[in-house]
Amino acid sequence: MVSTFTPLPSSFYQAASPFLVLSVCALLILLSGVTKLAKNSCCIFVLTNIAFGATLLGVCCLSLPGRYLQDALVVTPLSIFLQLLLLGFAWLLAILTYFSHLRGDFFRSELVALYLFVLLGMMVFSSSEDLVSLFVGLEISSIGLYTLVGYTRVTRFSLEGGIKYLVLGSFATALLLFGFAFLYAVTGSLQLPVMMAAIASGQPSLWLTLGASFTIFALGFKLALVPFQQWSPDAYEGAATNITAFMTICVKIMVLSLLIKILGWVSESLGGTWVYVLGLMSVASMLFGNIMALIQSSIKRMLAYSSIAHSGYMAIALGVMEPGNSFPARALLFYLLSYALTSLLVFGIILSLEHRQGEAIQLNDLKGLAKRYPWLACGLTVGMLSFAGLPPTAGFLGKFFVFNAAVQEGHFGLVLCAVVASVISLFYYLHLVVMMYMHAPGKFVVENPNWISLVPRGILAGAGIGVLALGTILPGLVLALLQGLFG
Amino acid sequence: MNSIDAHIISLIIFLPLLASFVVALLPSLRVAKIVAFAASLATFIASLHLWFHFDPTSVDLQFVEQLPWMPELGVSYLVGVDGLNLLLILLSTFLTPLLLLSIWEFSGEGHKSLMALLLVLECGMIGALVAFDVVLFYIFWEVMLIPMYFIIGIWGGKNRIYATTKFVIYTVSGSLLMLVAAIALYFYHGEQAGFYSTSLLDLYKLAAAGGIPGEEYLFLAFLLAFAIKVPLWPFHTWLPHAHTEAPTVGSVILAGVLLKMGTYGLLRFAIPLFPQAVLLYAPSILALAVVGIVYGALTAWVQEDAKKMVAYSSVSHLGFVVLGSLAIVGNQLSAEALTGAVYQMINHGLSTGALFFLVGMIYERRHSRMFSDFGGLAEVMPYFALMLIIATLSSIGLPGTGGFVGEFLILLGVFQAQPLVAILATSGVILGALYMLTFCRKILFGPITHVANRQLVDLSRREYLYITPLIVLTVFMGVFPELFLSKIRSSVGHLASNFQHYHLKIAGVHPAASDAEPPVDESAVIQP
Repeated sequence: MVSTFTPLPSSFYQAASPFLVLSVCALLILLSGVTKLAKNSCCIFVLTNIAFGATLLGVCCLSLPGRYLQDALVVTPLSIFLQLLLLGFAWLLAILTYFSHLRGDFFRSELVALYLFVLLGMMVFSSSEDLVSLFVGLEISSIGLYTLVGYTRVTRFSLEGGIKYLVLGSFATALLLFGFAFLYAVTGSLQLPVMMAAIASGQPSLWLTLGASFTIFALGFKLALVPFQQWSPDAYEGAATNITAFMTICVKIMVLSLLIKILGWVSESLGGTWVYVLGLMSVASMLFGNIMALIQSSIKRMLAYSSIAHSGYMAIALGVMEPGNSFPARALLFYLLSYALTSLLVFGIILSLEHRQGEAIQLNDLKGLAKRYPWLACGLTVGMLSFAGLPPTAGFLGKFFVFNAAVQEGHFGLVLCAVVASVISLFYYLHLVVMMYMHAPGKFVVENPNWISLVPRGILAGAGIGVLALGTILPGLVLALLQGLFG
Repeated sequence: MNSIDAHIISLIIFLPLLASFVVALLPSLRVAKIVAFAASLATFIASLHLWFHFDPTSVDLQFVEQLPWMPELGVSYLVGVDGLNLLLILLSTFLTPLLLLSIWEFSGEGHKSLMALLLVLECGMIGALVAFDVVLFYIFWEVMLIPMYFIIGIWGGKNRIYATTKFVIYTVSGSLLMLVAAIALYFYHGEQAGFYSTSLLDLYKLAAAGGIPGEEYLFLAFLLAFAIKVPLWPFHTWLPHAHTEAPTVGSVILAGVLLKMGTYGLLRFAIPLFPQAVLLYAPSILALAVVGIVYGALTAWVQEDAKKMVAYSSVSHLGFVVLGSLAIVGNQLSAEALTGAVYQMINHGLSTGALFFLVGMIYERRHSRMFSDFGGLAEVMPYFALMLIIATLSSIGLPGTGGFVGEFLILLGVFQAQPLVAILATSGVILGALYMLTFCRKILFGPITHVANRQLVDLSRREYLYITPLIVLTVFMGVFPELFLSKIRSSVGHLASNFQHYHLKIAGVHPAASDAEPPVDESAVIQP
């Protein structure tokens, strides 16, 4: 430990500048709440864009690869990539929110500041290899999220979701701390690289197993893997749709950023057991998520269960990771990218539809959507096909790569379970398409066909084309890019 | 190879796709109809280039285009033509303009979407036919599914949602297993060859090099995907629903080309990739095919609904194609049977396509397909009757129609392999004559029992325009079979005699000396 104060090198400040910029901006937005500016959601929106733009600029131009403060801040191509993903998706979601019915609810100084703080926590988490700063990052994001779930749009359900998330989330946090403590006790270090080296060279012990399993279970909680999924349907349904989308996309990116780094080593040192534990969790998640999604009548709840299932698919790739083979990690990142893009598309469309209706929409409300809004229906269909993993969408290639990674390690059983789960999932994804295209129109009445403004239309079109392009012409390029991240 | 030859296939695949976007975006229906039709006609003309410049003496892959796609995984965009897919490509490009013509005066909603979906479907069909990369094939295979799903689901009959969901679930379950098997094959190839590739040309070498461990399971996974598509009994249960509920264009394209994807997949993938498993399972598959032939025929016989009858007759006829694909004589496939199978695929596409069109015509006039609502139509609709009779005769396999050539060759080959199977299968032909002629009699002959039928008008000019080419071609294929057989003979002979160590190379590219190819037994190419 450093006993005397030594000034940090300027390179540290440069590398940390995106975080600093983002926190300053978030604080400024919070402070703006005391002025008259905050009355106007437009002003807040402008400030938010400035915050995102400045941070993005910082990540793009000032990031200095290296390790700082005993691994508390580690900037690598991978961490820059993940930060760009987090920032990009959070920004797009904020823009979509502004053009939806949630404008007044969400663009208040304290909520936007919270949103940015959550993002800050996620960015810290994804670019740190020190247990303390990892934990701090995770907590900043979690506590902010508990609040966002409950307070963005106050209803009985959102409060219920928020409280459930808070209670169970605190439990997971305790579990994580416990796990970290064990790991520290066994390896004598808080720095991941040192720990992993110690784990790799040492003998497996009970404490190590406990530490690693607690850590991974806690992260599994954040991913909503079965059996840690109970909070997610309520939180997803209760939260305002933009927050649901934010959780779906960004929390997954955040958690996987750490799992990608450590799982290879953990599974190596703990032998084959991990594959089975994670395999079991992934099979349970895929089957449970997809079967429960079949019987939902609310779209957001259905997507919550679908997200559990998708965590299951991702866990397949997690389970087969090993040091020296970066393919599972790349398959996972591809899956993540396709899932995030598809989620942006789907939730963006749901947000637009809610804008029309001003309340949570049910599956039945989608009846005949194709006749009213052919392009929205088309976009939602692309999203469903991608979620279901049918070509020519990104979702198919994501699954294909993950299956590839699993078969390469000889896990046929796991892949067969995933196939069965995929077939089950077809029923509800297609059901949504059936609703839109094959039923007479229901609730949505055309008053003004141009009610979606140009900006969100552009974002949705971009996401839709992105999902298709990622499934057809781009995969080679993206794989090469991901290869570059792992050097 | 000149630049037309190098890109012609990509043009044929993607022209319809491009046209479908244009059609969907065009504001004017009139212009959209013309664009769609013109594009499909242009695609057909482009595919004629393949027909005229195809080298029938070569067994190599021609008109090849290969581009890196996911180079790191060894996945490439590899398309080409040989004798096995040439005619099927032409069948697809030939049927699409006729389909578009048949819906020219479509009265329901979403005419533009229907045309756009048909064009996407064409893109998927042709892509799946020409793909020589497993991943590429899989993508096109599924792309085919999505437009069909919408065509049945939006424009179908009363139970359309049930039918279309069943269709998709069946197909996807099979094909996902195929995907897993393909991944396993891919890794095995990577281990053996030292490089990873999803190109069929590379994967074929595995079988030649002595087979694959666990081959039986991989074969079964591929077989399941294709058997569902064919459909082989007992995986056929989705087909009658899909056919009955689908609009006429859907049924035509389903029977015309989509079902052939199953039998084509057997020939292209399952048989050459897993020859040892084929030897093991061929008797069981033959048995299923025979059961399908007889079962399909008997079920067709008792139908009261014309469309259902034609649907079950497809189960029966496709059973013949499966028989022909798996007739093993000694350690070779029977070249006659295989030739017959390929020929029968085309002929069945034409004659069943025509039958569905004709049934669609009377449905449009009377909004019924029940036999009991018709009778004596020959009196009021003589040209319709003529067309229906020719299509029926071709479906039965009367000499002078394409059906005869295909079925005869198949039964000839199968008899050499398994006489008992051939005898049982022949009963399917007899039953076929029985139910098809009964169908003709109930619709066309006898007294007119319903007053409404007296007012029926004969074929309109547009109807002539799209039914005549089919009927003419059916007869043409029966009278001049050699014209078509000559195109497929070398490739089929190559597959038949070398199916245990099948290999395929790109025309004009000579394999490196170190790349030891198994000897080609040229004398085994049978010249009937």
